[in-house]
Amino acid sequence: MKKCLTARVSRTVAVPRWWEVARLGSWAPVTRLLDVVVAPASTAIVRLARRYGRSLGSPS
Amino acid sequence: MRSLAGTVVLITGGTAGIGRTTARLLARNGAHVAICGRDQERLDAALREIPRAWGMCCDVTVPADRERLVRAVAERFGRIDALVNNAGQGRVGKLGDLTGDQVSTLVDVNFTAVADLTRLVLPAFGARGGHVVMMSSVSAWVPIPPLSLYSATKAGVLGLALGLRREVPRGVRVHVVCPGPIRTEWLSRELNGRRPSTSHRTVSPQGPIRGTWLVR
Ligand SMILES: NC(=O)c1ccc[n+]([C@@H]2O[C@H](COP(=O)([O-])OP(=O)(O)OC[C@H]3O[C@@H](n4cnc5c(N)ncnc54)[C@H](OP(=O)(O)O)[C@@H]3O)[C@@H](O)[C@H]2O)c1
Repeated sequence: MKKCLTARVSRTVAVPRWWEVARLGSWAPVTRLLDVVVAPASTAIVRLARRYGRSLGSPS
Repeated sequence: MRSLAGTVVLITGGTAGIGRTTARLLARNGAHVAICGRDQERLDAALREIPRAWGMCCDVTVPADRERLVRAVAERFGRIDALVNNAGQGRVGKLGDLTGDQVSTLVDVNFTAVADLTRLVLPAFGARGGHVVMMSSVSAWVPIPPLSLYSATKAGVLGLALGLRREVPRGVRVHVVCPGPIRTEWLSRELNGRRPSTSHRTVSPQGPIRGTWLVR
């Protein structure tokens, strides 16, 4: 954030930096692959996300 | 690198999570930080913690609140140098499982408020220019099922920023920050339908923990 607010040009950044790899998700071949792989697993992914959320809500 | 000392930064939702951590960091670097949030108790706690910070209760989904916020910051500090559009919420669930109210609330907070606050702040930059930071998400690049609508609002914010860069005056920079999963309150708040316990209200970034960054 500090780097953005002192930058001379507009920036687009992922945080942490290694998440830059997610930009590939907008590339057509990767998008098509995700459509095929993720769609059948969507209900399971929702369940997983809820479990993850509950783990955040519980005291650690 | 130029310094942040003396710059006036308005951070929406600077009372918890990423916003609160950012506010603390910028204040430590000498910025005058203005924060807002809906929960007065949490706002007070954040203001006690962050030196030289100023804040007011504000719901960014309410148009009158947005105008009041921008006016108050400009009056208080005499100018605004940067806007960090951080306030946002998550919605976990397939689109078909959400209510109409949930859909409009999410779009209101994650997109409409961002666009309108930016519109209100741009004239306050004046000839000096300034910085607008949009808090998007990696899900803008890779939308995933339980967060389809959320991802769409974040992709909207990303698109808005890219478009704005091509229409704002020289001297105005429009940045986009796309965090990966960070362990803050929003997911648990969404899943539990209530605010987390007070133990989750203190801010102390620690991480990474199991692939996520913990920001409480
Ligand atoms: N955590 C992640 O994994 C993650 C990943 C990618 C992007 N992001 C984005 O990062 C931003 C911050 O997220 P976070 O994880 O730090 O969330 P958080 O811990 O839930 O904090 C959200 C902040 O926004 C404020 N807020 C929410 N709704 C508001 C409203 N209508 N009006 C004014 N203030 C409001 C909250 O205060 P009150 O509740 O008191 O109003 C709080 O200060 C969001 O835009 C989020 O989408 C988060």
